[in-house]
Amino acid sequence: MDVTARGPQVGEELEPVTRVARNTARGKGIHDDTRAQTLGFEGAPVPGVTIFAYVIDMLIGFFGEDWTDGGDMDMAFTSPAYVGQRITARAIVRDRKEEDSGLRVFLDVWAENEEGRKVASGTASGLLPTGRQP
Amino acid sequence: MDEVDPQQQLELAGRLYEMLQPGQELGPWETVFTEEDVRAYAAAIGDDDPWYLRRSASGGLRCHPAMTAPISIWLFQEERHRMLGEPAQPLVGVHAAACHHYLGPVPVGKRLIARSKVTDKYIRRQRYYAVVETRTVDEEGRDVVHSRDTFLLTPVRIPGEAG
Repeated sequence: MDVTARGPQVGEELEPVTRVARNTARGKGIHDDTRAQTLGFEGAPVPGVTIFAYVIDMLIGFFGEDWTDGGDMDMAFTSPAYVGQRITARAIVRDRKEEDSGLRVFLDVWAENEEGRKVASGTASGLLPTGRQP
Repeated sequence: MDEVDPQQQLELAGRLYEMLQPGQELGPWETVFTEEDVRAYAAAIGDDDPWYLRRSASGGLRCHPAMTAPISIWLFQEERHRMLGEPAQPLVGVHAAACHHYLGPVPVGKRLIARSKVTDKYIRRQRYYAVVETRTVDEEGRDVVHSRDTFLLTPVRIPGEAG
């Protein structure tokens, strides 16, 4: 089926991905409890690149594994995420544009903790090749 | 764990901020991600079903794309150490933003070569920031990812700074 004929519609939400946040850089730099607390954090924040990974997994689930051929993501880490929090990556379709090889989909993306507080937000895009359904 | 003192952190960040110059080049920096690295990464982020460890259509294994995300951090840290020498306490910064454009799968077992450039520095909300752009290619010169990362040099605010 031609995805440009249907495809995701503006305002449509992607299937979210939820992970329990882990400190993948424990003890390094700001990712140490004592050091982070001295500098005003509640504890060691989870690395932004780990939150980035959760959002990418959501994008791969939607666009497929070829998202890395031309996909992009731009995120600001707006609030610290802490170990053990359930972090959910979410996205909503902001725009879509037909291209020769498929449908380029533009998204607003974010990650939020279980209280609904955004820990990262930004934009992403990727190509849904003709013939592929998300 | 190294002790940190907010006042000293601010002094170090201010010194680094003055020394950093837009156009300043960082690297090159090289790494090879092995299959063991990829499995360790999957375990570290709590990924129970790593899609990137299944064989791709071309038959090769891939890294999780986010495995390239720390490259510019490592490059920036290396440059920071070079510029600041061996201070009594390390400067503790925060990764504030990341913009990545992927140009192909991140290969396993191939050399990746990254080069960065400082493209901007600014003070906002009483804090020092630097922006670094990085181009990462594989050993055959194919572009893998282009990134732009923003680093908060220290979370400690500059007293009296209105910016």
